Amino acid sequence: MSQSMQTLSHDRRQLLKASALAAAGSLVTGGSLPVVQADQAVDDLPTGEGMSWNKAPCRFCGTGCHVQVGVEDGRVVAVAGDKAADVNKGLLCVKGYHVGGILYGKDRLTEPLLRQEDGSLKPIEWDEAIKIIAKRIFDSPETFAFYGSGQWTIPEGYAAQKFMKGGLSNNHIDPNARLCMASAVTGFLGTYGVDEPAGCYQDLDECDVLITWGNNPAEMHPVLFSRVTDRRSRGENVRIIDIGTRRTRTTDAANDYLEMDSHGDVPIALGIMHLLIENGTYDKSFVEKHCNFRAHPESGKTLFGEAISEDEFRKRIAEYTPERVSELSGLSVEQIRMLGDLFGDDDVKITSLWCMGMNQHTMGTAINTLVHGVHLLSGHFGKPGDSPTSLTGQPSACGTVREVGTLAHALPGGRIVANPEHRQQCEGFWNIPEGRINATPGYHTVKMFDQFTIPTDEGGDITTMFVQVTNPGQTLPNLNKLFNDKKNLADKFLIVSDVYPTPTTELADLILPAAMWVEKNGIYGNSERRTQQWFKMVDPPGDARDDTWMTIAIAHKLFEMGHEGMKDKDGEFIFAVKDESGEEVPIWEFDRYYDTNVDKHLFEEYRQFTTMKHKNLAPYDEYVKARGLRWPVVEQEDGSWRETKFRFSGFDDPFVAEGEEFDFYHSSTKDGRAQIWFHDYEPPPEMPDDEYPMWLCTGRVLEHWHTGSMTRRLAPLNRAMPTGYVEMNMEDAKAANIRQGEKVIVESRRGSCELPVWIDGRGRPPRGTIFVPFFDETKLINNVTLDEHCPISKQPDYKKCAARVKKLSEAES
Amino acid sequence: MTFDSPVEQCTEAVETLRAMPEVDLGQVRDNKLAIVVDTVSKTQDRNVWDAVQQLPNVTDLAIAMVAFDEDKDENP
Ligand code: SF4
Repeated sequence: MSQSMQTLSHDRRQLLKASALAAAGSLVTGGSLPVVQADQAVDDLPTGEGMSWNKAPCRFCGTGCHVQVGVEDGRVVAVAGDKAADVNKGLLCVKGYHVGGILYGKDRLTEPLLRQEDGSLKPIEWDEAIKIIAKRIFDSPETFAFYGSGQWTIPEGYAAQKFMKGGLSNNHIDPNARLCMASAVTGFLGTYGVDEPAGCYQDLDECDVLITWGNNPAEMHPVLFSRVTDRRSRGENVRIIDIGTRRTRTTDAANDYLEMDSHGDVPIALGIMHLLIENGTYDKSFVEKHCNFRAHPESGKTLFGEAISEDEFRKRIAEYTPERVSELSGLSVEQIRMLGDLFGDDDVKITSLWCMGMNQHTMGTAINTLVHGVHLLSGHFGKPGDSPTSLTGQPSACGTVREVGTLAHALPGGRIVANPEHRQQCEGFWNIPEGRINATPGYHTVKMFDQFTIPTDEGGDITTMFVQVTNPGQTLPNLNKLFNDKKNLADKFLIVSDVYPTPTTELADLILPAAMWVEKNGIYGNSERRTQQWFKMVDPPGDARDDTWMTIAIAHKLFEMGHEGMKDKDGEFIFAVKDESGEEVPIWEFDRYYDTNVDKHLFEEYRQFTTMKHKNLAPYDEYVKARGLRWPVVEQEDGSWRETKFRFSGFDDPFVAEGEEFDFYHSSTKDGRAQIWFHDYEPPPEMPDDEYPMWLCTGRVLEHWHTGSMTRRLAPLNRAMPTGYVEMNMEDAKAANIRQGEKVIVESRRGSCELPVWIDGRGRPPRGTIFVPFFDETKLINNVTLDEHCPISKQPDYKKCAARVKKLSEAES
Repeated sequence: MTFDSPVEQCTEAVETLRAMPEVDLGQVRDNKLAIVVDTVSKTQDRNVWDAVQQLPNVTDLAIAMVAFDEDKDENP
């Protein structure tokens, strides 16, 4: 142990023990959450010989906690919650506390690997890898697809976006956020005409009532949820209402638990609106001044729908009486009336919180717009604590996917490929010839993988796919159809850049070792519109390299091969970076990549795009100084930059004219108003029946982040939650003669998965339902899930399908 | 730690825990008990972990916090 590490020693150990005991105690008593207070202020962090500390956002969930990263001898040796960060004020959850360790799993990928004919992997040089990729793209640019994620940093996503849409005239680029929060995007667009939440985390500090709509922030966003539960320990009264399909750790902290049937959220929202109208308790003045009514036209579902009158809305919502809603949702009439009364009460401030439960839904866009509608109709909107607030699962789902627009139909800064004006602006910023950007949206995730796994001669027109920073071999729904079918298709070529072997690299033809987190520069955008920057602090292992570099190196190889798309209007490389003397820096050569800050160049270029939808960003250097800034960030008269906490509200949003209370300035109806939607309830696409009698819901656990590819490399987390499992109700288990810990087969019409049973464990599903987390790559529950998706957001429904549970012995016989 | 019955009924397990020098006992509620394990080596840590997991009546161990700066060599 070095000198500096010894300074962390005895006192720190005692402090850590006390913190650990407090954290464990809070888990046991259910009073608070498994979050840990940093034990040092930033200024007090031990420095010792050669030890340095620098800020970075946590690599995991969309909360966007900041950590201080301690580096010694070129290695991350410590992590502390950052007390100077507004998001987490020094707190971290158990994943964040371990975030440094994810760099040091023993099986890091360290060299490019090419699959041989006999299935083995052969190490190759980077030059050869880049050449192979460039050749495949050069030969067939239109059948190439790029698949990324909400873990892409903003510059990574921006580079991929520019490469595809501005370079290859190819819109087949989509992120895994399509599987995670696409319905939130369409919900915001359909309601406000612009994506991203209006409120921010301050809502959680100020609400009187917090409603969790089918989500479990106690485990999935623990630091954020602790902002609410900690208020209770300070003597404040916060009522938590948990609307869910199973009891979770969030339920443990809730005052009310409203157990709904699968798909029940849609009728519940409709029922609340019905009661607001029937009781005359909706906010007439707010609705009159700031809202329109909307529904889908008879001709079919569209993102913006058509206008309906308030009378028409009243007529339609009249059908959703508490009695009918009770039948459809499983809540009692009293519970629905309680929610109706609550939203009808002006004296309380209500914040709604949701994440994948509402988004991964065949009515995903509908339920998102309905929950916004409940808040708009009741006037519980636009004041701190009174807000519909959507969370993201990934650290840069907002920043990279939604702001940069790395979706098959989008362009940066809220633009879309189908709009000629938007294409033109984009071509202008990129200095590329007019008409370069393709007007037809590319394939969304499900379609993209469908086309990749369909044989080419049967119409599968994606033949080469590059996957960066994500693990679709585990996260796609209906894996047998959408991923595993690739196995026997010799002419399909899968390129995967990752840090560890995953189920995706198992089928990859070319594996590229990637640098991760503080092994590279980065910028993330979290759930509350906060853009957060960090610098590279340590070197990646072996030959691992930055994802942005990979994209630029491939682009430059294509440029060398004479691909016209890699040239701008002046014949220069589209990613050209010049130094102060006007000389081009060869950033496509990795040993020259850090001669300049490529992130900064890309970010400053991207900034130009951010003003059209009032998502204004400050210059890169402002983010270097701050622990993130929430956009729009606007320059003040004194030259300083001011962030925005509450959008559309006159008291805080710089784009609302002085004296105005609200302005939905991107309204799809161009009248400054938000849209209150009506949607009819539709049953789920697959329901339990005699053959498959159970509802299956999938999700996550506290200890592991998404597919576990990073957190499962951390011994303590892995030991704490070593395996996937199926949660069963005690009565169901008894009826099937299944015991605690026994192995069973969970199966659906699409596939099966073997799992141990957990009865009355952390989550407690009601009779007839089971729950399986998806983090364990040895137990791929997505072989079982359904690929049916929301018709507008194209986001699949992982939260409900029909399944059955068989004892392993019976399945074998 | 989660037991299959209220903690006060799991005397054998609790007594064994109390006798382990690396383990401190914390708050109790129903069938849950908070503990802290502090070890000096990876091997010892693993031994304690295995021993705790194998105690009678234990159904689950959930981690609330781990000190990272000590476990940098622990990753598999
Ligand atoms: S995983 Fe999420 S809640 Fe936990 S420390 Fe990281 S950002 Fe914060």
